[in-house]
Amino acid sequence: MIIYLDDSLDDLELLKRALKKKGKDLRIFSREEDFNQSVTEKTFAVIIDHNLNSGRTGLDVMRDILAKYPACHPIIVSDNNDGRLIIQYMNSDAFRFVYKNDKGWDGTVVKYVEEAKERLDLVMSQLKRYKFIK
Amino acid sequence: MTLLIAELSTFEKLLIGAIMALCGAIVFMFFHIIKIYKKHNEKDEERTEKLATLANSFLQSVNDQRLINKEQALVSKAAMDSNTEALRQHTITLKDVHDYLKGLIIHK
Repeated sequence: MIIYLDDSLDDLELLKRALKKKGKDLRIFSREEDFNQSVTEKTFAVIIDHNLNSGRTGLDVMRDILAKYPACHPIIVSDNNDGRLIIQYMNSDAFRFVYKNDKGWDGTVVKYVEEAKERLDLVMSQLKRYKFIK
Repeated sequence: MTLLIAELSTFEKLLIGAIMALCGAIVFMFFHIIKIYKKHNEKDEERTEKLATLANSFLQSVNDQRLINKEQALVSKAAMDSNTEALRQHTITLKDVHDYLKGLIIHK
């Protein structure tokens, strides 16, 4: 399950279409409360916008999610590409950071969703191989 | 239409029949492939959801155990070695496990 939180309705629709082309279903939310309710342990990737209307940032939302669901892959999208901000996200275990003003950013997100799935696959198969899990 | 068909030779009738059958087969195959693709996607999604559930429960148990017993924590070497409060409170995520496993493979 992939879930996307953004207050820009255009961006929500754009990414939904991009993922649908790849046969993936994206659940979109513009309100943080609804988004939080939808994230479950089945969610392997969340896409979060950095600037939210609620007054909280994507970083706060991401930290809350990772504390609850540490296997989730947060992909951050933002129209702010400040290096310090990106480092902050990466230090807090964001999976990838995508700059929204880049051409074809939606395609980049789709690519990262695939990467997240591959990493989940790889880690789980290795955990099984090294008998950390059965 | 009936008159038109009657005027055609047997060979032409057979040819038209064959072309129509071919078109039908192509349309059938097209929908069949779409159906298989959708089914494959659903199965793939189901599998990923199962993996995510398993990964989350594994990491949650590691994080819980880490608080109880250092020895039993499997993957948080950096967190265990560190004395800083910030690192000890850091939740182990899939990234940490991935990094740990990469180290395990390199040193094997």
